[in-house]
Amino acid sequence: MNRDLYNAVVMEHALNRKNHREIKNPTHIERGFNPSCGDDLTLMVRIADGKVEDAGYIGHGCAISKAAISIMIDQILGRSVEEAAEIAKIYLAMIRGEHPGDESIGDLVVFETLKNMPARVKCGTLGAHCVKLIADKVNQEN
Amino acid sequence: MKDRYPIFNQHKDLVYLDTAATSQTPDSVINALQNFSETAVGSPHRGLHQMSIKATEAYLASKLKVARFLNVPASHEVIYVKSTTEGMNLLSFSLRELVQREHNIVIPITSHHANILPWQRLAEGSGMELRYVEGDETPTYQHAYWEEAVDQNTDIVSVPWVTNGLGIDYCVHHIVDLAKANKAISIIDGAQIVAHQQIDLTHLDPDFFLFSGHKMYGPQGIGAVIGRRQLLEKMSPYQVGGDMIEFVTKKTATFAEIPKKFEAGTQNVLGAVGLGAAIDFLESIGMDKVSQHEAAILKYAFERFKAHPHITVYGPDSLSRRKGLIVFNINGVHPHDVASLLDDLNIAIRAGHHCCQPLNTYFQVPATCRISFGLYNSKADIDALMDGIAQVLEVFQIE
Ligand SMILES: Cc1ncc(COP(=O)(O)O)c(C=O)c1O
Repeated sequence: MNRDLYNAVVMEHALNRKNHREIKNPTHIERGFNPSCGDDLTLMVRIADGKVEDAGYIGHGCAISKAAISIMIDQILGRSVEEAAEIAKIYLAMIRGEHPGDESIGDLVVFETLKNMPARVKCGTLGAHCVKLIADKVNQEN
Repeated sequence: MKDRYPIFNQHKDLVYLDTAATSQTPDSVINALQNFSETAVGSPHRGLHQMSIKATEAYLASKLKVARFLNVPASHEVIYVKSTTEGMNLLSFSLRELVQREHNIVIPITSHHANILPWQRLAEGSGMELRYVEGDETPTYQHAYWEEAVDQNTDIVSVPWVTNGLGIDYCVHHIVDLAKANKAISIIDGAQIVAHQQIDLTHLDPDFFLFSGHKMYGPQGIGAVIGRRQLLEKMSPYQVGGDMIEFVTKKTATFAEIPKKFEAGTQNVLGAVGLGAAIDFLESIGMDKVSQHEAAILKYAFERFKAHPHITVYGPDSLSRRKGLIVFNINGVHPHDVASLLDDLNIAIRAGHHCCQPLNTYFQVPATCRISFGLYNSKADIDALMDGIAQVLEVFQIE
């Protein structure tokens, strides 16, 4: 059932604006766009000493894309860039069905059912792709 | 009517509200496809054997049905293509020698991408201007907006009879007349009208009329360009290869007569047979009945939507200019969430940009929901939809 995905955790993040905010002095900004439905979310992070010091997102999208980026933000806050990249990598592998969801990605496991919902994969992975792209950029800078 | 569509035996609770994207297939069309596959498969126009002759006959018989169904005038020819999209690509390519630099092409902002991208490409390649008619999305047709866009330098006016992105019924006869008065070529995208009302192309007399079989209870992969022979004769072929030739030497070729000039390669005879059967099916019901049936459902759904506190309906605020579909949003819920949650309840709707991104940008709504109707729909489907929408609101904690 698709509805299982719209559970309490997801709806809390989709409806709550905790991470839906512009942050101060972002060091990296990545816009994720899903042309088929118009999801358009921008991830902003501030990286200091190799750590994600603050993160937030702006833009508009469906509940799945917003909740996924918001929970992703919770997971990467305070972590090193390498750890954040690893979380995004495990998350994307989980949705491809190549890696079981486990505690290493925290609440993001709620999106495991996306592996059976091909129509919504793009929504659920927008935020993870932004994290991956930012991590790649940080690596190039170093 | 549902009992004529075998899909509903497999999916008993299916509420199918996406006919504007593709329609379901009735039993008689399925039977015709099977019967042809079992009795008459051969390459049309080529072989001298029985199977080839039968295939050729079936192909031509299908075209005669199209000509009768749409009352195609003697001045026009039926050319089979894959779809409306392929038809628009054919026209934008093959008309390029009949247009002039610095002249213009006029289309409405409500157009499907199939009526935008081919013209963008023609405009770019030939130094023409692509003009959009904007503003004519009101409850009554606004001829002034069209008069403003179409002028002596307009070479092509291409308009959807009904827009898939809003469900507006354009008064195409005014637009065809305006094109004629300015010596422009008139093209009608008939994709969203053919299955919904009686069409008389002799009366309307556009230069070109296009449609797809899969939106009128026929199979996917067959559609038509109905064109004025005088123009087709001056146009170069879109694709070249087998079947469309007269003589071929090592370096040169001369082309066959119309319509073959525009039908290169082995044609989709099975699709043509299915399209013919779909026309028989519609005619057996009667297009007046078809129109009445859909108008009743449209009215019912439109009124329920308009009375709903959480639904925004896009497009004209009047039924008289609407046909076949409703584009809407549930306030505060993204269309993809609506569609996914309704899918759990076996309710199929369309969500996204409906291949009309310029229209979305114009209205500043990135995505919308769309319901569209066919012969298998009933008011009970709308009731099921309204119950489904109530569940969506519940998930999103909207009271
Ligand atoms: C108005 C309109 N024009 C053109 C098309 C393109 O039709 P097809 O995909 O069959 O080529 C569609 C269908 O989506 C349509 O609704």
